Amino acid sequence: MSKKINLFLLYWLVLLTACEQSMVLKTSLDIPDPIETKLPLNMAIFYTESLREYIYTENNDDRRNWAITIGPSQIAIFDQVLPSMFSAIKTINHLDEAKNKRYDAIIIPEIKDIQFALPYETKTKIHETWIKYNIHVQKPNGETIKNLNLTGYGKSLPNTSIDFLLDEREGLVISTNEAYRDLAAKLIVSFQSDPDIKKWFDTKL
Amino acid sequence: MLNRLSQFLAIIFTIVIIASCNTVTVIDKHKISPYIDLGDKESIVLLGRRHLRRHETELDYISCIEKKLSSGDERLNVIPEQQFIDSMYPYFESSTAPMNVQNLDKLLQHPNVSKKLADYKIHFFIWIEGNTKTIEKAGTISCVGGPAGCFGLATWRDEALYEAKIWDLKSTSVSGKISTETQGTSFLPAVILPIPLLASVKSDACDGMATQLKEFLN
Repeated sequence: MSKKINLFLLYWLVLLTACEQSMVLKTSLDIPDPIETKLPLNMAIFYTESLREYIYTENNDDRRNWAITIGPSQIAIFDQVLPSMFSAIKTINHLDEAKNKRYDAIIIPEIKDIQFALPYETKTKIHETWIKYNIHVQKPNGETIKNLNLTGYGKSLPNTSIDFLLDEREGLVISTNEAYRDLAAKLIVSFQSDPDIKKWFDTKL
Repeated sequence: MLNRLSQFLAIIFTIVIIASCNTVTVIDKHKISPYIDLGDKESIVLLGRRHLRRHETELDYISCIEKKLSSGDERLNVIPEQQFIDSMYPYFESSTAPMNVQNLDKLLQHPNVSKKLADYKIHFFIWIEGNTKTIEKAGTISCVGGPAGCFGLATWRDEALYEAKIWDLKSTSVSGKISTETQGTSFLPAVILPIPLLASVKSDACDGMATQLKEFLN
């Protein structure tokens, strides 16, 4: 009798686990090669551990077990666009490393916030993603040159936004990749047009 | 006699509905530069404005005009929008694209940017702003037991408002503006089966804009 009850409980447990919706997304990077407009600077980039391992998580009635791996794509963005922006760029593992080398400046990206909007929430038939960044640009001695606040925005096309989980995933991947593309574009343009960075750059010439 | 009358009424009703689906397009053209001359080997590019999230110019509207400009008599060399945006990355993204000719002039200071534009042999940028939206809805349709048991009438009115600004890359100035305003009403009568009678608002706005642009540039 007890064996029967155990089997019955196990059956329901398996069924409940299978029914529970979960969202595990691995975003990828698909941005075009930027036009090279290199500034004559010897730069370093420092990826913090929190950025490298960044996973966006959410678990509520509307968004059950969401886990969106953001970190690797962030690093891929910077690795792709920074070489087109500066004459030299090197990744450093510790900030102390920069003190012993002759870098003009160090870039430290930090994710401030990520937001997603789903079609049924906004009644727009599209998925949307916002990735808010603070890009610290500092001298090797730690003095701040500029903190760039940049927000990457992306959205899916309306026909990808159907309310099934598979399409939900597809819509979010598209909108997140578009947000990466927007963010990278703003990063490149900001380095060329930001007044504080320009002022600092002029002192280097 | 009654049968003939009902047939006559049905025909009149159909004609009225089909006639109502027609669209009306109003075009306003303003030529600023008197010298607009696109060389045989020169190109143009059409770009949709998408910096305002809820009022973006549709991709299919741009591709519709591209198709019409690059075919038929007096066809033009048109560079496809997405190909151009990708190859000019990051300078023509919706958030970074120049909003006026002065900013375009600044952008041309980058040697690699101006070289790329020269490789494309671009003479004119055509920025399209606007979109098509439903401005009025009326009527209802009730369905019982799936779509094969519907009765009622639904109507909606669409409006397409677009403006094209033509920038001359050689003189970095605005050469002209064209705006189109198209309106049309679509019907969905349902007697057992719903039959959509759609007004081709966006497509007519595309036709109107493409015709005017061809005249403008040729």
